Amino acid sequence: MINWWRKLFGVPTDYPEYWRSYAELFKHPAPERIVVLDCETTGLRPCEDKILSIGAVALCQNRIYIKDQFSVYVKQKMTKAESVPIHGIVGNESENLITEEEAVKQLLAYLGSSKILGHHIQFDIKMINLALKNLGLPKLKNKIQDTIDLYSQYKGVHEVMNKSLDELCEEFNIPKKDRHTALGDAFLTAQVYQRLVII
Amino acid sequence: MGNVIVERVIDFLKCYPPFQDVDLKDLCFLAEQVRVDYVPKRNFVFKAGDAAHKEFYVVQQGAVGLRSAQVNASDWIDICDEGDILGLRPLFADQTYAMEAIAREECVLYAIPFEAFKTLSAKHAGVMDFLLESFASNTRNPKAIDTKGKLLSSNYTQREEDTTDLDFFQQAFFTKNPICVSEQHSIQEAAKLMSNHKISSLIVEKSKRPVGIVTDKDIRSWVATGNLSANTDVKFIMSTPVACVAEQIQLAEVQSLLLQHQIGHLCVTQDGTDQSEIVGILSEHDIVTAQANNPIALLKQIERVHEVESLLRIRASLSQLLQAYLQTSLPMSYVMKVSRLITQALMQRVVAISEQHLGEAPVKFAWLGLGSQGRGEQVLLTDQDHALVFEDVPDAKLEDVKSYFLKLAQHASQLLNTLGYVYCPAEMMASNPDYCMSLSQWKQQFSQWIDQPSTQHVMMCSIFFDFAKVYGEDELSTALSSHIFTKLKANERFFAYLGEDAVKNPPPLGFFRQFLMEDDGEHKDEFDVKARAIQPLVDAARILVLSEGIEGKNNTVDRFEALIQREPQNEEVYAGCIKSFLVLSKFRALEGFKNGSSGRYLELETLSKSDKMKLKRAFKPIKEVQGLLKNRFKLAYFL
Repeated sequence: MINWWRKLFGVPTDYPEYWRSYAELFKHPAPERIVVLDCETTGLRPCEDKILSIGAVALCQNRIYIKDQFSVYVKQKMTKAESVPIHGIVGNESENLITEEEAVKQLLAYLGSSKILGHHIQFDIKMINLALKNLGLPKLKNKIQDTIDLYSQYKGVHEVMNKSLDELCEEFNIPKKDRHTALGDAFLTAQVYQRLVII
Repeated sequence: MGNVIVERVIDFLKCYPPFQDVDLKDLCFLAEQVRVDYVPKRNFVFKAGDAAHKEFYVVQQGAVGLRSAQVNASDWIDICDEGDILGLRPLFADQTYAMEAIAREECVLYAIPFEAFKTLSAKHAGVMDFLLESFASNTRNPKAIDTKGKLLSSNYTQREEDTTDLDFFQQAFFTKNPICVSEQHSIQEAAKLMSNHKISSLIVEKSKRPVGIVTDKDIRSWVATGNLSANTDVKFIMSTPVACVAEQIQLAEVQSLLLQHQIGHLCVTQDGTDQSEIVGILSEHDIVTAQANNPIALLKQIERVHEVESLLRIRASLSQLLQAYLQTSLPMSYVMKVSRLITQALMQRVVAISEQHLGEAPVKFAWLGLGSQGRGEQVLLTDQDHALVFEDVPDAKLEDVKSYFLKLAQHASQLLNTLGYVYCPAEMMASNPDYCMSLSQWKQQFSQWIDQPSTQHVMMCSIFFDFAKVYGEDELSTALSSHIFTKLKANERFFAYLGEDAVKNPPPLGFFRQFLMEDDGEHKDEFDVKARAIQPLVDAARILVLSEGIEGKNNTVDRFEALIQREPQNEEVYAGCIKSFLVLSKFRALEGFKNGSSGRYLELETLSKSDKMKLKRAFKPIKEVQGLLKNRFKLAYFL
């Protein structure tokens, strides 16, 4: 009964410390910092697939600060043979794998209240929110922006133009390296973003 | 799994100096601190007067132009492209930028915090040197630098001269506490001292300062000829003043001084002048023993030899010597001087041997070196370029006289060819009847070239104006030269032609993409350092001394030096030209020796980034002096 009330009014009393300090940050005005994020997953169906790695890098005043980056590899029970060729992550391959909860905890600390940006970001957000839900936590509170929307604006077109990250990199003359690693894609996306916000 | 972003940054940085010399661990530390900036075309990276950023920039993609805010908009001081560094000023100078940096196309810049960099440069000595050079390269334009920048550039100049090869620049060995006599000693006493100590010279001192020098040769010639008695005071036969040097003198300098003054001894004093205490004596012998294969020895050998084989050996020694010099950081001016003196002596000898072979010339004549030979700027073996002028003779004798000189020229030319100076493909040789003429015929020829300027004639002038007497009578070459100066005086039309020719090859702005490479033919993707960089400087110096009526200066460096004397207001431009000329000549000489070629075409890909930068910096004075020429000649005529 009390839990039900809490859920109704969103009072996060029994959420873990890391969530509470994350939520706390949103009481203040959002920072200028923008986090560009990308997840590698076992597949493209959020209900059954899992996050394998998360990579992110931050921008401030449209400058990428390499030091301000984030990268984790998540230990998952399931692996799908068909996605391995894409992301190159083989199950339990490395000792640097961390649990999903640890990954989420670190991610929230890294994100803070910054705006999140990504290419087809809704998918990544959905994956993260599902991970949060599994831990009994609410959805991400950050503002979200998609490069695809920015690209449409940039082109002055109203309908969404569906371009792949590869296509955008080619259009903006960004050398494609490290595609399909979470951090590599995040870095490429950040570079695309730099060009999109400048008129 | 490594960090892909940091790896990407490292992959880029490690391709370029100074990062290529930094070890991976430190590079990794540096790469983590990097900020990636995107700068759209025509946006500023910084403006003149902006407060210093905490970072400097490496161009990762695109190109950034640097210019001074005062100078007109198209006047780029430098263009930085991939791998170039900019924005170093805060590291060395005050808190604001002196120039503005604008993206010439869209750019990605890596911003590296000075703070992170300082820890690193303390560990890697080469890193700071490179940055200093970069900085000097960015700010070489005298219009763009204020006092502080200038200070740094001149510091840099000193640095370059300091980084000399220690093996060569060994301190000259000299005899300490030399035997001295006072002025009142008699010649006999002096001779006794010399013979007791088995020495060939004595310093004459007065309160420990050198006032003169007496050598055994002086004593022999004065006493033996009976002009003076052995009881005469030495002061009557001593040579004075004494050429003095300081203790810290380098071998090369000593050689240069001995050559220059044609003397055999130098006195070493505390401060290097004859107003301070004597420390030692330095003789030519000391130098000769220090260096077996030295220019002085070569010069002496040339005078003594008679056979082609010996000349060939000397010519080969000269090449070896020059090549060895070029490997050191010996000043290029000195290398060129040695080359000039020996080459001239060699040519002189060749003509003398030819004259001996054919029998004495019927009338006075002068053998003239042309082009780079005339200017004394050869370091590599080149084509022969020479001409011959002989005294005016009655028409009846002309044919006989000319046929003698043609034979002489053929003989000399053949000898030169054997020595490795191949025949001139354009036949600009004294063996060509067109270039073997009497004084009045030559005067007529020059008058024609000057009075009827055309592209062809201007070209001939640029080759023939740089003549220098190699062998024979000074009066003939001097007469020819005064004729030319008289013809040129206030001849605006001719100078307009010559001026236009001198600015026809503008210097490249930088190694910006392909744009300065040769477009086609055999030398595609190479850089013609002669036509694009050296020739414009040579042409500029020539037209300027001609128009100023400065006679007797044939060498490009000497010409600019004379011009500095005449026009102190342009000192900065001319001094820049001298430096560029020397740097470019060195590049050419190195390339030539490396490939056994004329050194004319540089393969840009084989040049290191710092060499490219040196080259780039050498282009700026060309642009400045061409600007000066445009003002002085072309406009003066066409307006």
